[in-house]
Amino acid sequence: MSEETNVSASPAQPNAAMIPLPSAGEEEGMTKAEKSVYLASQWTLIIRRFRKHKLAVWSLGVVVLLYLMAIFCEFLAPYDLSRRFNQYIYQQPQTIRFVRDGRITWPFVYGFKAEVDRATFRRIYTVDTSKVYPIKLFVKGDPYEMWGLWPMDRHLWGVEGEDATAFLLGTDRLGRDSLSRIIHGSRISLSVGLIGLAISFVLGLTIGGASGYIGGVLDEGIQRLIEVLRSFPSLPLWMALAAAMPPRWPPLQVYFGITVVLSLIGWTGLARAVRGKLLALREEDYVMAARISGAGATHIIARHLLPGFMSYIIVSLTLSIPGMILGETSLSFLGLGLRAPVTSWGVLLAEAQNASIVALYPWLLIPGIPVVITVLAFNFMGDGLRDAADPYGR
Amino acid sequence: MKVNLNRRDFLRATAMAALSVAAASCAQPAAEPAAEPTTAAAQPTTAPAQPTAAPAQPTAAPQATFKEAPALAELVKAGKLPPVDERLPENPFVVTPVDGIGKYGGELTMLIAPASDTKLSRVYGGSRMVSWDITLTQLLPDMCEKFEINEGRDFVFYFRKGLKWSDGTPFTTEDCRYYWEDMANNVEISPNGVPSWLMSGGEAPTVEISDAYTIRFTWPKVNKVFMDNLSGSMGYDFWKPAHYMKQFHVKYADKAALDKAVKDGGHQDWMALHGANDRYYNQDIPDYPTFMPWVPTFKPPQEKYTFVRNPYFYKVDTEGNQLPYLDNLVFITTDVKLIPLKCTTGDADVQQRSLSFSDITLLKDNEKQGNYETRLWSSDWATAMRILPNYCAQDKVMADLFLDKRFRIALSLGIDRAEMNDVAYLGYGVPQQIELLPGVPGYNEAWAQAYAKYDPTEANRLLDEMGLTQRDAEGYRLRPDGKTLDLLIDDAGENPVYVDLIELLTSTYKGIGIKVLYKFSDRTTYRARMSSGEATMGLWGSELGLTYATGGVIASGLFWTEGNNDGNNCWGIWHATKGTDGVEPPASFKKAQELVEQWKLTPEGPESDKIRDEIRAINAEEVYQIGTVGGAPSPIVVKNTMRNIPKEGFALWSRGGYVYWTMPCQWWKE
Amino acid sequence: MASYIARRLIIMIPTVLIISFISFGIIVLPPGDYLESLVASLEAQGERADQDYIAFLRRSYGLDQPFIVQYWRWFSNMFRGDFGYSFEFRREVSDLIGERMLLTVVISITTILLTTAIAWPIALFSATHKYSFFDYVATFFGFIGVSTPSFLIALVFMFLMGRYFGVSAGGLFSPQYMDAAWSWARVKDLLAHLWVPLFILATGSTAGSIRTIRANMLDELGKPYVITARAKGLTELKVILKYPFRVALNPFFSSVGWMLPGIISGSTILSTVLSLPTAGPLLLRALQTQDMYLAGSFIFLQTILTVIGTLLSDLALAWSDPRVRYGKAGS
Repeated sequence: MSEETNVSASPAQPNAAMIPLPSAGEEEGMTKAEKSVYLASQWTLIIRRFRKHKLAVWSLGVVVLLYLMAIFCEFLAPYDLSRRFNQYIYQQPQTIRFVRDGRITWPFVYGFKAEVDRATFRRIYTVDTSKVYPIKLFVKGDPYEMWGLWPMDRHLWGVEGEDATAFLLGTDRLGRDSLSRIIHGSRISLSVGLIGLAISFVLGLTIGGASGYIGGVLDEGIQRLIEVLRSFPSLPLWMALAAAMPPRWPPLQVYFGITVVLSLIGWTGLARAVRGKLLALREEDYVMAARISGAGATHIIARHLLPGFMSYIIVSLTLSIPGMILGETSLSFLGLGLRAPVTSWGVLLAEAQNASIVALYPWLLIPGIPVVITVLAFNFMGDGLRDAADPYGR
Repeated sequence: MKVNLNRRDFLRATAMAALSVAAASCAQPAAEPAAEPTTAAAQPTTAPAQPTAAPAQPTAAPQATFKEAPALAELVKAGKLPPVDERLPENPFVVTPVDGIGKYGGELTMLIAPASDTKLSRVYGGSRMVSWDITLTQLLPDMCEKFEINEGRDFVFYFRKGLKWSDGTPFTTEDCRYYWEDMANNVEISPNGVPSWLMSGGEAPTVEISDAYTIRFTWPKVNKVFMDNLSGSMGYDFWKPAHYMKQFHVKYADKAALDKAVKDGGHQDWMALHGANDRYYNQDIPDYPTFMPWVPTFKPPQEKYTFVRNPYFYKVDTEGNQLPYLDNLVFITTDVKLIPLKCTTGDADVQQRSLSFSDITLLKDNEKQGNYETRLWSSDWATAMRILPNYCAQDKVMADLFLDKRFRIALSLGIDRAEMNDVAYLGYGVPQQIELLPGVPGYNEAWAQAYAKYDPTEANRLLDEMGLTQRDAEGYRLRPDGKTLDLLIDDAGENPVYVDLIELLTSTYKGIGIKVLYKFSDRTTYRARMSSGEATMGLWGSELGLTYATGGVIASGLFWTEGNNDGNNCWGIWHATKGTDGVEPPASFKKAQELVEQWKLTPEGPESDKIRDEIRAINAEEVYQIGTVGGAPSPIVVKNTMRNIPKEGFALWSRGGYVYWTMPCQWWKE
Repeated sequence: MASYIARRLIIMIPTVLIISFISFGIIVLPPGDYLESLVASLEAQGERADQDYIAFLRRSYGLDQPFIVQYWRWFSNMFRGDFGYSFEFRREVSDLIGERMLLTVVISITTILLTTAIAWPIALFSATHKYSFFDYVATFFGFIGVSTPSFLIALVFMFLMGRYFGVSAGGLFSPQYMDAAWSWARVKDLLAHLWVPLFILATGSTAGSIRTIRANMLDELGKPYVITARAKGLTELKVILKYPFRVALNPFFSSVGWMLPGIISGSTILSTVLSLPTAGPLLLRALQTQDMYLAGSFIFLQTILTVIGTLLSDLALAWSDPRVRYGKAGS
């Protein structure tokens, strides 16, 4: 093993940001602004740096909006999840228009005329300019119960009238509004799986941390355990788990169960990476310094080592979120994941997984877009957090 | 998807169906009132009138000699193959081509999903002891020259002299004897006795071989399934290539060689070796002798399976050309989801398997690009989705509700079948109960439409009359025990259309105050839950709307006389055990069970039909099971270069084997 | 070092034993066996399974034996080079796996190479030009790659190829070369088809690699030793490649060991959608039909590779990051 090289090049200096309290003498000579920097706790500094990162702040906004959407989906969606329009099956999206007869007006949509082409077995929709449906705010629509508590029938926006329709993202094979389904689907997509993710992370961090920091027999044992766990190929494991779930469980619960069990196995990747990082970091001088001054292991890990690989954790967390959303679709491909009538983005995408939809009704692929947006937002937010958490950052 | 679903009904079909000659003789594409008078009439040339009683082939060989494919002719010239006249039987099967005499050559490419689908070569290949004519109404002698049926229990087959296995060995009753004595009655190979497909009423047949070409099967009582077993898609065989199989049989093989083969192959004993080499059904061993038009050349698994022309194939066209016309049959494996997509790029010459109604638009849309035509064949679905109340449910409150006829009628009236038809089948299906499809002989509109009209008012009235007037906060009715009246519907998860149909059902049932819950599982779980009574309601399809006009077939699916997973398990058991086990069914059901038994023992004819109709009447009146929509057409992709494939036809498994009824051996390629 | 490797090799033995037992358990554990799944699939296709015949098969396949007997028969035979018998294909498991191995390895390795070749330079450039236009573009496309289900991409891609170029979907060969012997023409045909699955396979993994390496690079770039190296007057490229890049690959090496088993079963689902004649779809099929010796041997093979991969990964880690010193743990 090449042990000779570059020891000198290894970082040796504990950074100023790592030492929150400078000596009293320096404190006196500082300006107020300087004080606020040097006296701030590490987390205050992180927040402060994060706020400078415009894109990250915007992304945080998007993430918050996404979760608001998930929370208020009944109100935000123009239609109820199960509302069907039999005469508008596989209808292409209606466009919002602002100009009518050459004049700018309140936004509206045109209605569609439907007919069935008997030769090709296809439903054909043509714009009917005689039907004008202005888009209104706080319209009365399908009744629902907000959070299962308050009966309501107002929706943020929509069109009014007996046969007025506004399907901005088209409809599916049962004539259900695609946009409404995407909005409703966010609730499950953004929530289920987070717990599994949390379990994985806690396990990965603690076990990986212990393995890397304490080392010795413990490390050896944990490494073998990881090896054993990692050697289970995921496919048979999924199948065995799905078969082991109690048959009476509804699909949502089964999926949740699988996620939790998988997370009990899925921590290994993180644990190994954390251990790798720790093995490197614990040789640092500042760790040695902390140890000499009598700091306990927990303190050293949490205070001195954790910040050192925080960025890695954040990135792998942001990468896990698409994994979590996509994992759902992979499982449904095998017939093990969520399934209709449960509605999530994964279910919507799984339903779009056939040649007819790709070729004839491509708007049903749109649920892919919120997935991309969610992933991008989490990622940029993660970028910002990483920069902010990086003690070596500017 | 759709075509290979819910074939359990098919099982019942083979178990019960008989040779109803009169039955579906002019089956007509169901939902097309404007179609040509009848399918049968559209193909006048294909079914030369054959006397039913004494079926004999139209005398063969107008020519002195037969003609053969150029490739074979060369082999003959090279001395590697005997001349065609010697390869064909004395009296070959004469096929009347659908459109006209074809030309030799070319490959027929089809797509399959799992490797085990190589057996489709046998399904499509057609060679059976007896087979159906192209209208699927009349039974023809196929591998045999003629057959006789006496009293519906005595069957005699006269083989074609000179018919040969694909390796050139003559086919004789020795091959049958080997099967009957050395396999079916060998305690080591068949420890449980004669295979169940040969058993009728619990009794094995007497088999009598009078000479090398004549065999007789006799049962003590009527056997209504034997001929269907022989002629169906499965094509059961009571013969094996004895000359080939003997090398694996302890009675004939050299002990040392056999032991070595067992050991080399990693088998446990000689029976396992014998079983592994008996691939008549799967058609995946190159050396295995067969009668199919094309024989395998590969070891699975492969991406591409090539079957080559059988030089000893026993069928000729009306001009004496030995069939098949096509040189090779090729199966290409692909993911099942890609099959419609691959059809659009013209990757299949003919494809029906794995295509469903919902693919029609895509297929039609790409016809030019793929240079093919999407033909729509009539499907056999009496109803694509049956709703099965579980009368043996552990949930006693629900089981009692199901027993009330008013409740069943309300459940049926609460279904908007026309909406289901529009949404799922663009209006091409037939909204009806579990009955024959319109246009099929024996069709009875009153039965097919009994309680089939959407009438929520009447449904609500019936439910109110039953006293289910209490409602919960959401407006659903309450059961007698005060809980919300919800139907937990189990689905085996095989037919994707069910999700949509149930979605529609959920909203119309809401209108009659009944809540619908939906549970997905798989076939095994579904069945276990249905038969144990854990499930309160199930879903399954029902075939047999078209060709199997025999009411007993339909009845057997509705009124089981033994254990089952169709929602009347305990009633079936009660009947089978003569009341010692299970639960006593209501009087009308008991009556139907008795009629089913009676029907089984009545040879085909007016009397059998009369019993059939009595059963159908009970079904229509009592609505023990609820039908939805049937008869939606099924797509078949046919390349524009393919010839001799009927424009209209039947997409069905049990009797037609997808395309077997059109005789692929007479297809050819321009 | 040698003693370290030796020690690791010895520890591998019990690990493999435990894993083989559990893997076999996972396959046998779900209710039912191959024959039940055979019956179900026969019936799903409208065929009838003869119960007597099934009982006969169950006996002759030894499926009526207790779990431990089945396990031992399989495991002990494996050391004699006998991996058992595939129920579905009625052939030796070793033949089946062997047949598919060549194409499997070719595809996996090309995918890994392709991923690396694309991901590393982009990640480096992205990290050194943080928040530049290029970085954003790379990030954006990278994340579209990560966040769309790969089989959906595959489906759309195959559809477009079919519609606009008439290329038929799935597979690695044109029909005429599928069962042909290897020849120059067949290789050319393979190359003509190979890029489609490669493109789709690489889409997902490339983006993931870019993100991880970029993040690690950013961690390292600001560190004092980089400044030191710069101060020494090294060229920028040398500074980056010699120090931070090597360290940034650390987590990458931690997981490189997992690529080894991935060579066999990597992207199983995607390969199934793409109908590739590789090992993945065969494994999936074996699992679905509970063809247990085939599935078991596959998993066992994978296990061995995982264990070896872990060892290699540890060695690579030690090589790439001199701070990681083994044998001195816990000091």
